[in-house]
Amino acid sequence: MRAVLYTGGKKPWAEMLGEHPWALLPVGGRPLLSYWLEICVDIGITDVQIILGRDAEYIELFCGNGEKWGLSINYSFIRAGDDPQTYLARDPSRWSDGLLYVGEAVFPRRCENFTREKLQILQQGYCVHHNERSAFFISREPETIDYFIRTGHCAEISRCVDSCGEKECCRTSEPCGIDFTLIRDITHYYQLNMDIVRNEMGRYLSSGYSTVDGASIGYNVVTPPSVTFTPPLAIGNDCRIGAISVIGPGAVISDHVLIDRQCEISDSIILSDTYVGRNLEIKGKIVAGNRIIDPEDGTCLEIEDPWLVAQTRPRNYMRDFLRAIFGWEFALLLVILQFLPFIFLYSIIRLFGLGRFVNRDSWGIDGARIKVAHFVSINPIPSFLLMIFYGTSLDRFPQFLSVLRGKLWLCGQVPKVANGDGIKEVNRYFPAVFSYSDAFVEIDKQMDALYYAHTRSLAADLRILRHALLNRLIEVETVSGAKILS
Amino acid sequence: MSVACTKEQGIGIVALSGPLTAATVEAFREQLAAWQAGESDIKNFVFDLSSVDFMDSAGLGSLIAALKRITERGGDMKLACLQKKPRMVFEITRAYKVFEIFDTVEEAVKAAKR
Repeated sequence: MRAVLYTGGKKPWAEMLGEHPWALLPVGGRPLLSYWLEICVDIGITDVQIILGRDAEYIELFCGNGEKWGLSINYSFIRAGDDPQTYLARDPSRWSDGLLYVGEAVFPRRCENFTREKLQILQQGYCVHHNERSAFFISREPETIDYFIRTGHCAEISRCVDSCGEKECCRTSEPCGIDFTLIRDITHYYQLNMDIVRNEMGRYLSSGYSTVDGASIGYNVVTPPSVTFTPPLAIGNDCRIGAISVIGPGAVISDHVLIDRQCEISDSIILSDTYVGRNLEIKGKIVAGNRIIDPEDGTCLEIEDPWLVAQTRPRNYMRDFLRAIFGWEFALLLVILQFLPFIFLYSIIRLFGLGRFVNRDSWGIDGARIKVAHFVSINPIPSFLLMIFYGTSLDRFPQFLSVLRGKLWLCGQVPKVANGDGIKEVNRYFPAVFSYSDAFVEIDKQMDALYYAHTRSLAADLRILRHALLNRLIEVETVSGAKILS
Repeated sequence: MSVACTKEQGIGIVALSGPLTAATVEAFREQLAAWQAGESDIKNFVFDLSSVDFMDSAGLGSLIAALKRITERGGDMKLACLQKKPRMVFEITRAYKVFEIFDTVEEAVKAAKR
């Protein structure tokens, strides 16, 4: 038996949730597509064909080659103007051993009496239709499959049944313990999530896991002790939650979400790659990047305001390449400008014993162990000479050389000291000479490191550089009273 | 952003029109300050937001700044006719706890007179 999962096509309700492909939208904290892959595993299907739409790269990134599930996943696109049915009809012999087909945003909702054994019932033949389009089909019977491929219907499977109390257009010989819920609109999507996280999460757990505390928390979720969790809730992977926040009840938080300090999140869905600003109260909403959606009436507020909510971005190699080129060239310029002043001033500083550079073992680019030179003032009373040295960023001169040697970025995150596994705390690591901690007074290094990893861009680097370099000059002026700026 | 200011039963009615965002708060502040300078006897204000279809944190900040100025002078400020999208900003930022919000200008004026 083979599975064909169609992830293309537009779903109006999913469009308002931003760039996330509908197949990867979370239900109960996990992508919809993952439930289908699990069904394939449970039924014993190993050969899965995913038909991709416009967000192909996201789907491929998530599924890979299927190794994670023990599946063999292959991808294909359908020709422009074709529908998945035409794709199936192109080579019917491929499906003659059995076919599982998913063509719409159908959630396989497990009933209370669901057992994996009952999935065998499905293979006798099961079909769900929506607006004359086949949403789900499964059969091992060659005639039934042939009929389905030719007509898009499964009229030969006879009987309609109630599933989980909801009458859908499903036909099978007996109930299979799964309600194939077609996600119709944003309200339905929201309600489905709330139902799953509040009442049904236990039905989807792998053996060995428990829902006693009503909370499902992924890996690499960083939370200070002051965060309060109020189950039921579901949190994905690689999330950071700021201090004094209250999460739950009824919070569904996807992967790569940053929630700043003092937030309250309840009865809400936060989609992946979202930043929730400080001291916000999200109740009964869906937040997708910079969009806030009221699921009751579908009102969508799209807001370009990083103080409230913001879209963080996935890895973009071209953007990083541009940042690397810019950083390297700017570091070269600084080295050329600073070379003679550095030699002159540092010689005097050493001569009078005012300070020196010490090397600290740190993690560099790609996790390599490097030595980062930090200037240490020996004299506790800052002298005018040291202030000039600091104000003109000459104390970072050796680090600029590290940028030129490809060991550090010019702008990014504070390099992690190489004494443990601190590097694992940030999913994407950009050790750099200048970071938000140089540019802004109020900082939370860990939060800023994660925020930078998600929002990094050339513009962000320029902003850090401008603030960092200016701050240093202004601080010197403030401390010494000397009009260095003028 | 346009600001139409009138005086009704001793209450200053400030009707805002257009998005109240970082790009427009300066215009809002200037127009409001200019009018307030000429009407220094008005203490209580009602801000009619029926034509404000969008607001960001800067816009909200400008309203909070206005509230602060007015209350420092011993006055009061009410909001009326908050649209759905700005209301969502008020909800998530908990600003609804700071302001008194009314469905109509009349209700807000009645409350401001008390």
